[in-house]
Amino acid sequence: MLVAGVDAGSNAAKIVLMEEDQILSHGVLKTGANSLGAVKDLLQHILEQQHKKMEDISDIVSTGYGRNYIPFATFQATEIFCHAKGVFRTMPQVRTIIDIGGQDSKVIYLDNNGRVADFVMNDKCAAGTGHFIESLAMALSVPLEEMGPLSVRAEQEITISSTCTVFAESEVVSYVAQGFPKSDIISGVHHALAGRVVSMARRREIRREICLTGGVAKNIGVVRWIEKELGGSMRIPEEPQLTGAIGAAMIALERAREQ
Amino acid sequence: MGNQSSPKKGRALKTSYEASTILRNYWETIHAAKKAGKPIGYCSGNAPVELMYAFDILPAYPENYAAVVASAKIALPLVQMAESKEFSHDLCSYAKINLGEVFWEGKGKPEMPFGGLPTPPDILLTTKIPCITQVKWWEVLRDVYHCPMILLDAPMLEGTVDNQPSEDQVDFVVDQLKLIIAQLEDFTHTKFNEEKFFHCLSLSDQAGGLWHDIIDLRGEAVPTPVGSREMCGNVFSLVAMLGTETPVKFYQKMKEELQYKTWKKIGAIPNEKYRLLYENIPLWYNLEMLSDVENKGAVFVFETYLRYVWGGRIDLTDPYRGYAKKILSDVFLNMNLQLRYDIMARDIKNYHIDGVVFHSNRSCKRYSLGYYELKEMLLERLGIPSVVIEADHSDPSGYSEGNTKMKLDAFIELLEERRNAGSRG
Amino acid sequence: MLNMGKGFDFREFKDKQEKLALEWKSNGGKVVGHYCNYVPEEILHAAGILSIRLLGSTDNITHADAHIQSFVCKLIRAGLDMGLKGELDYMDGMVIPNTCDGMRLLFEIWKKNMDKGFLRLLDLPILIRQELSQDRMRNDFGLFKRQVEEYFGRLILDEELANSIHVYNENRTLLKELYNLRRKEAGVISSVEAYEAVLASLTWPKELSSELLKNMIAEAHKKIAEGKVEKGQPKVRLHLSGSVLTDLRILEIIEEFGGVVISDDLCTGTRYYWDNVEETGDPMKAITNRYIEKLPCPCKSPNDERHDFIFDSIRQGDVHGVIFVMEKYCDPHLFDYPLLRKQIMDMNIPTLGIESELGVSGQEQLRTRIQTFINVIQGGQ
Repeated sequence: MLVAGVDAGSNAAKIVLMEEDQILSHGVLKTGANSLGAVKDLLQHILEQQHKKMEDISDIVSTGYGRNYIPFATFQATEIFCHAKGVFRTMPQVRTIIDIGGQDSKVIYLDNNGRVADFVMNDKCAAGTGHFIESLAMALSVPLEEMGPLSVRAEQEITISSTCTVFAESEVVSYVAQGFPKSDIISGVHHALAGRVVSMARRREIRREICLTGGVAKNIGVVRWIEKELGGSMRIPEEPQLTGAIGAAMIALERAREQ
Repeated sequence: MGNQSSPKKGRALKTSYEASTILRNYWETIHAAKKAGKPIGYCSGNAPVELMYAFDILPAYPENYAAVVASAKIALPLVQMAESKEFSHDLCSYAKINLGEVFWEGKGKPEMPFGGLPTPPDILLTTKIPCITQVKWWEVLRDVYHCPMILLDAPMLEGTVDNQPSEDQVDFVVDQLKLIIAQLEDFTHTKFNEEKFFHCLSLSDQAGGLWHDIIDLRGEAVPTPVGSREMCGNVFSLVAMLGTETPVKFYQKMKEELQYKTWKKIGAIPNEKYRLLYENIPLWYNLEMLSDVENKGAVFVFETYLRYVWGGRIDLTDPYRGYAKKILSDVFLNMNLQLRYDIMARDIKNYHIDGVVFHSNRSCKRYSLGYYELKEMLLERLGIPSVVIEADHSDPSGYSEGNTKMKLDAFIELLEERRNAGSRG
Repeated sequence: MLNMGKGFDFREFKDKQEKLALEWKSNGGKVVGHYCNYVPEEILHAAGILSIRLLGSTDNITHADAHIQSFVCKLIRAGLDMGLKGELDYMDGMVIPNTCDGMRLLFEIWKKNMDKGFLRLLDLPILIRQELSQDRMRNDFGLFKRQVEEYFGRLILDEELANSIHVYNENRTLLKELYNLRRKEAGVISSVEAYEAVLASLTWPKELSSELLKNMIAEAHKKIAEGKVEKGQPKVRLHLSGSVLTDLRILEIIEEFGGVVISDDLCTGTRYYWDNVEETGDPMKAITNRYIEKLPCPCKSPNDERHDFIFDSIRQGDVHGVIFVMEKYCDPHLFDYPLLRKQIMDMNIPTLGIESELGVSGQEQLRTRIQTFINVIQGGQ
């Protein structure tokens, strides 16, 4: 039984193709919400690679901010449920999922059966999201992917106290002007983000194990700070940014099986 | 309060169609009064408006008017005007909308509904019962219009679910009311007509009583006959016209219609699956949010804002004390957190609520702070799940539609999962 | 003078505060924290309690965000955060007055999470110029005294109250003397030092604070007598308006560019120490009268006297400019600001409005603004 999950996020669309419980293939497309048409092309491309056709797919579930704008999807589910499903598939011990995306971050609390018991999301402010790191990477002229490795070399703690991204930028600039090493400053940036996210997560009891998903999970600096704040290690999926699409495909599979 | 932007489908209650007529008549009357040289007052939420009617001073509600402006979706330029006059972006958006109108300069002013707030006010009446914003905002108006400002000071309510203020607190408010009466006598150069005042109190009590009946009827009925979006448009006369005949007649009619609908079990939506409680002031610029959930089988059957902010019963056997008690005890914002929890817990049971939606409202600290505690208490003590959405009651500039829809969708998914898990045992 | 070394470090200040509090406790005393300058500290002091004003912290918030929204002032959020992190565990209680909406709910959240020790909400009236509300304030203060007596298991005698009034009056008088001295001899005491002294008074034992103030004033007089006051460029003399000022780096920036703060209407400034308690007659009555009549806060209505205080200060003729330092999300101040600022501008006094979150974020931007403001004033002279 062939199914697909589409995660139409605000920065990128991600598609996962599954044959029963196995992931056959996946694809990622950098896109704004305006170019959702390209999502169908991507799906077709993935299908062709696998020598499959659109008609072979039993069910397609969409998620993400653009979930209601994927006309070929038969069902829409929120990222929150998809993340829960996606994580539970390979890590059934996980009880708390922290997802830090580009535009928002969420904490999902699971019960012992992997069901969503509660969730919280950041308010509109960017300080607790991947966007915070992106804009500060720009301010520091450091490529995004180098932020993590650089920060690990930090030698002293620097506090970025502003929660406003714009103010944080000028704070960072003034640290640079004062001659602090970039690695220390970046570590401070990561610490600020980690602090915001963990602080939000504390709204409910944080049960272990904890899993970190979303693009920021690839940033070792943030991961270490969150682990330090929480006092323990976290699980990170191999492709953390695909978690939502995998979850959507899982829901598609359940739906296809029920029919 | 506030008129609704015309919904796609018709109203559930025929009586609801009369709300817009009441609103229009009210504004016409107050504009006419101003033109005729009669005194008008600006009144804030929970201020003793019945006294205004007893002195023949027509009250206008800048707050309510701001909600009207927001629901007409023209709030933004006014908010921005206030901000350009250095009123902080973080102040209450009701105040910013009003001050944007007061301080408007230059071109491009939106066409104001009902011809704008009548200006200038002749007197200002306010209280700190719901919030300090109403005091500070009124001080600005006082400095702009150089007219008398009367402020009802009041202690905060501590207590139990029966929420009775202490005798000392009641005494204090009674003394304040008598002082206000003297101030109004000075202002109007007329002698206080106590009989007329008691009559106003009686009308206020009747309207308050009918409103409570209406809330009970729609809350207790399964399926509920009318959703939140429509009811938000029906509260206006309770806000601004307590002490007059209008709300009494209007709510009497509405109550009868609801009695019929609940008896016939006619629901607001075809397949009611989840019953929700709404906490805080609605998003006046986006009342659709309240009805959007209906597509997924969820319906808001109860709102603390409609029940515990406006109106209330008055013990007419002891009018001054009865009135003071009502002023102190029927306002959610004047209660401590434990009391608010107790009341919500009781209502959740009475109205068969499945989940709670908290609107964490940047414009209303007094209403919104403490939500994370209430959320935890509801889940731990009652097993009632809830979700917190972040928005503002009248300033649309920071509203994220995608974020809010996602949270509400996920919340209904959560309710569904819980129900499925329950039915599987 | 307070040995804080070069540059002001609030964290160091806090550490010192805790050390002093622990010392106080080891001598058998109790320690109670409080917000706002409407808490009658004299009553606490009379019961042998060191009362410490909570001034928040410039540290990152790590625990409070789980309990309170971000659209409340940092003073509230940081205090809650410190409590939740256990940084205030040495305190035996906490008094939060019902002033603004944020404080009101802070009490509720505090109670839900840290209901221990002497935790009280002081629900005070707002119409401080109205007799009915003044009577209520008398009752509220009387009740507060009884609550302190009950909780700490001791009666507060009138002599003790009289002694505490004296201790507080002395401290306030010294602070006022310092204020007058700075005003008369701008530059004899740096703005940072002067406000450090106020923060020390707010958070350290008054007896110690008074000792330090006496030394500081004596030294200043010596400097003047010996003609050692720096005679550089004439300084730009500023009035500072706002609520709490805890991040004194802003004063460093002002001084760096040739400014000096000679007057203020801050909650951590004149509003705290301007008025004394009458030392004759019934002490409770005298204490209440002081809090009724003191220079009011924008949470009281009307608070025209605060505005008049600023205008009077300007009318003395030596103020060149007014800087408003406003705490973000502080509704009472933010509502007052636009019209107050306009009135000051109408007196031909330039103003600068700065938004702060207990600290100056965006230091570079702030330096630019302050430097420009001071330059404009210098050019206009």
